Amino acid sequence: MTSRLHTKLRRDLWSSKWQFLAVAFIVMLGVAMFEAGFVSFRNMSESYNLSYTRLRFADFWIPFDRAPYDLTRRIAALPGVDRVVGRIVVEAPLRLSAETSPAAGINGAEQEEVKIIGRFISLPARERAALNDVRVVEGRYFSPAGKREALVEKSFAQHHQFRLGDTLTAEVGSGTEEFRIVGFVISPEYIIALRNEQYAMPTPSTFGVIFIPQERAEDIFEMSGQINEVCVRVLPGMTKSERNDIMWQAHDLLHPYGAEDPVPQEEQASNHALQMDLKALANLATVYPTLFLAAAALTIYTLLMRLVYAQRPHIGFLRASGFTQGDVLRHYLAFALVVGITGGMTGIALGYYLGLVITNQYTTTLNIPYVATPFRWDAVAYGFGAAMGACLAAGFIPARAAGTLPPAVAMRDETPPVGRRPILEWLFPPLARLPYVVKIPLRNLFRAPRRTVYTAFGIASGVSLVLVSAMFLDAIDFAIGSYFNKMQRYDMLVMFLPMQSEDLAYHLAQKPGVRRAEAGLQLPVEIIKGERKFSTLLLALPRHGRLYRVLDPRGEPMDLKGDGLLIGDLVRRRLGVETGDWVLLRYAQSSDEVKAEAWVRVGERIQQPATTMVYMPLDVAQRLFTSALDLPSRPTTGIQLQVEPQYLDALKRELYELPHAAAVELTRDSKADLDRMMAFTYAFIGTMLLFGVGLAFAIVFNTLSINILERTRELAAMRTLGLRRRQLAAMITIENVLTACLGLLIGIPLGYAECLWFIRLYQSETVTLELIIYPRTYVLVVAGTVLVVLLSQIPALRWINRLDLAKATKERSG
Amino acid sequence: MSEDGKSLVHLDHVAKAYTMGEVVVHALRDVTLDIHAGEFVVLLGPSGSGKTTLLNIVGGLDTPTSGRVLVRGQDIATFNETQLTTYRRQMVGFIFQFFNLIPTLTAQENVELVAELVGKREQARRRLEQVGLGERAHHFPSELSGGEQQRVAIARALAKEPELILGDEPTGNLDYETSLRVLRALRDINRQQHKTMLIVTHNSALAQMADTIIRLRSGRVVEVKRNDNPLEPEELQW
Repeated sequence: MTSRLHTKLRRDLWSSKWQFLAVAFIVMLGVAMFEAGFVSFRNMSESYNLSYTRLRFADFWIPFDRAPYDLTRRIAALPGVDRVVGRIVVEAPLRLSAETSPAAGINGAEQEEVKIIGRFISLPARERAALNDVRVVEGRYFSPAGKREALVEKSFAQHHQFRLGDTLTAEVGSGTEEFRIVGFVISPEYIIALRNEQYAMPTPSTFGVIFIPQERAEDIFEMSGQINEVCVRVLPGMTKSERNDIMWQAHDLLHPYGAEDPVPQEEQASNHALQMDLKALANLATVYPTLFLAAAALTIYTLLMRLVYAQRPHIGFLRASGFTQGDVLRHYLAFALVVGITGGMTGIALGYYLGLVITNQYTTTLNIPYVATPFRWDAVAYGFGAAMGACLAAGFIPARAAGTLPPAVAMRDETPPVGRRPILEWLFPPLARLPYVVKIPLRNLFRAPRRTVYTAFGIASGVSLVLVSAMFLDAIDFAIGSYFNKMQRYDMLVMFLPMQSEDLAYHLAQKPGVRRAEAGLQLPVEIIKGERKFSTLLLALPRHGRLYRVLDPRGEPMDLKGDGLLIGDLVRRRLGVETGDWVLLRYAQSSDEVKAEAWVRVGERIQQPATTMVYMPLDVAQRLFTSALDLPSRPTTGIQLQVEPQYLDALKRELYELPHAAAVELTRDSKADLDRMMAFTYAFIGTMLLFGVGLAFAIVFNTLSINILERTRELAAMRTLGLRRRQLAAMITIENVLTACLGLLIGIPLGYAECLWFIRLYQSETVTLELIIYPRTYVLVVAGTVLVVLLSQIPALRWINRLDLAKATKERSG
Repeated sequence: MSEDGKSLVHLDHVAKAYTMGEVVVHALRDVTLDIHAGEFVVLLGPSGSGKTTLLNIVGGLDTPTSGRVLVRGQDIATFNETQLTTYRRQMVGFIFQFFNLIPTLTAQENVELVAELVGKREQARRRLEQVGLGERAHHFPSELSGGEQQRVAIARALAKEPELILGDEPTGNLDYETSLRVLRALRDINRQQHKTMLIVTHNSALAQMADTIIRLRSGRVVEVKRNDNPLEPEELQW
């Protein structure tokens, strides 16, 4: 291309700068999303892998009752086993005073004491663990002689604001044991500190992980020379099925010792949750950017087609003067190239920054032992490639059209398209009698159907993206609202370790301020149907309970009838079960020795707004599991309380004094915890919503401006014929609003389909969201779209008002 | 050389038909004529007579449906796209009724754009001075009058130093006074630089300054007339 063509390119870009900037903006959004998703995905997955490698994350775990330590040698001797670690893992109530945990005194009580569930895990004191080691982030590792030392998992320590040197008191058996905190650690097993796979989110206010020296664990839990869990790593390069063979061989060896089901690495709670997150990030890095870049491509195509149309005489002249087809093609392709470079580079910068923000958010929220954030040239290359690919592909068709336009044709005025009465007027004859100010816009829609369809699809893609983001906000709001307003109606939950008799509920109901007390039984379970298995929590509730309600399909609270297991739609789909089917319900920590499982029938349908928990009447669960698990009569894991607000804090203190009370959870605090955790999600969805609105605005602004500018001569002619500016504005507005309506007609079903797709994507084993779009959201989307249309046509209308009529009617439009 | 050995351009039984919307238009029917080197030829005819089509075919912008178009003995009707582009680049300069200047380039840049094609960018300024627009070189088309714009277009056509200059209604969009100035520029170039001019117009007054007048009607040549005493542009009246 010659240099004066460059000058033309530069000045043409400048003269339509707002249109080109709008497209570059869409490209920027698409690339930014790709970049943010890709960078954070790579950062996180590499960080996890790095941490797993450095801290020697196990390939599988097998918990069991207890066995001699020497058993690890027999497992190590299995062919294919690389390393075996035997350890003690025991949960016991942990007593935290306000002195050790300032968080416990937040509500103003000076010497308030809280109790939570502590998971004590043994680690060798004189050497580092061969598998599942920890990284000390503050303080130090155990000293060889420091039997009373403890290492506390970082997120738990942060939540309770522990300091090095603080003392922790555990209730073990009938006595207490004290530990001095010497270090805060991060563990590859608790990057997300979940109690087990059935929990959707970490609960540092009620659950924490403490690492203690092996010898001390043996002493206090009376397991001298014994262990109750093995962690195993197989030789590198083994397939999953080879690993599984070894896992089950190890399980066979542990069979006489009450082995529970083994936990392969992919089912390990923290790792599983992290992989789900990674999946979501991977989707973010592909689905949304694809939508944006497709929209950008469509807009570039429309914009360049319009430019080529408007510059037909110039193209004719260039070709007549001896410029080759290739010169002209490259000239028009350069417009797309500039958009691609501008949008791509800014998108990469913005997206890379967002990627680092997301990474930073993850690394501060989660406890990732080792973070890998090298500069990712591949992310830059892919982002740039995606931008250029989309832009050049979209620009190629108009550029080729320009290049191959025969010069003689280019210099002729185009034959006006054949005028026809639109089909709508045939179907509805009264339309033909409408005033011209309405009839002309209506006919315009049918006159250039391709243009109308492009515009409508442009609007539709913006609408659909806005709808998807808005749907997530509605679905989360609905889930949280339903959960706290309709389901979880208690103010306080006291949890016991070990389980207690539900008679305690009657005792607690007598306490001052308590309006109602109901017992519940919460058990980690597996539901098995044929080859399919689903791990979740079973919540058994009183048949006529009021403090935790199960919702019927209409979303209304219902009483629990019959003996059936109540399962939400997501779990039904995963298992392929329907009401009336038989499923095997197994206590998740069942072993061959302690077999706690029963065949139960799937009960009636329920609405399950947030979690994947399953429900059954308390008496049925007690009947099924009490003797199998050797539980006390009519066992309960926790009692729900409805309490007068002014008694909440006093009652909480009092409840900690109850024997075996492991933790007290206030709904008020849970809500606050949830709000804190959701802040990132809301910010994230809010950003997506803004991106969607930005996209919608850019598309609508561009397509409408183009539509108007394309018809300069026609509009100027109408002005010269005597139409007032206001009439012309009204006609354009009617046409644009009609196009917007068409866009909405396409966009809302399209958005709904995208919502269905996205909601399936984000349903995990532990969290379920239903597709909820409030009617007000539809109203807002429709009103917002019309508003965007009205706003984005303003520049074009102003331009028409300033038209030099004599010039515009004489010259070719463009 | 063409058939008679003297013609720069020889059209031999040229016909052209094309479709416009749903209509087939026979723009040229069996046209045979010669244009000699250094001649000032005016092509006259009413709207739709095929003038522009003929001009486009001679200029290599369009190809005939049948017949031969010999330019310096070579049949450009058989040229492929690349050969036609080279032909236009080296042989032809165009002047259009609506000037077709690039609005985002200045007068000088418009001329340079074309001059660059043949590596004569530095001559752009001189070409503008030749048409009396040296002072207006850095103005954009929108800052120039119609006559000035057309003179820029002439300078642009000259920039490649082509043998053949084709004008499609070059004064069609100009008033009388301005038209005279444009015609004077064309006449000077024809006489001083010996460029062959083929000017299409429906203004019969222009025929009086031509060496040869060709009349077209309904796609056929109805008259080819030699004018032994062409008038100067300033002598024309309409």
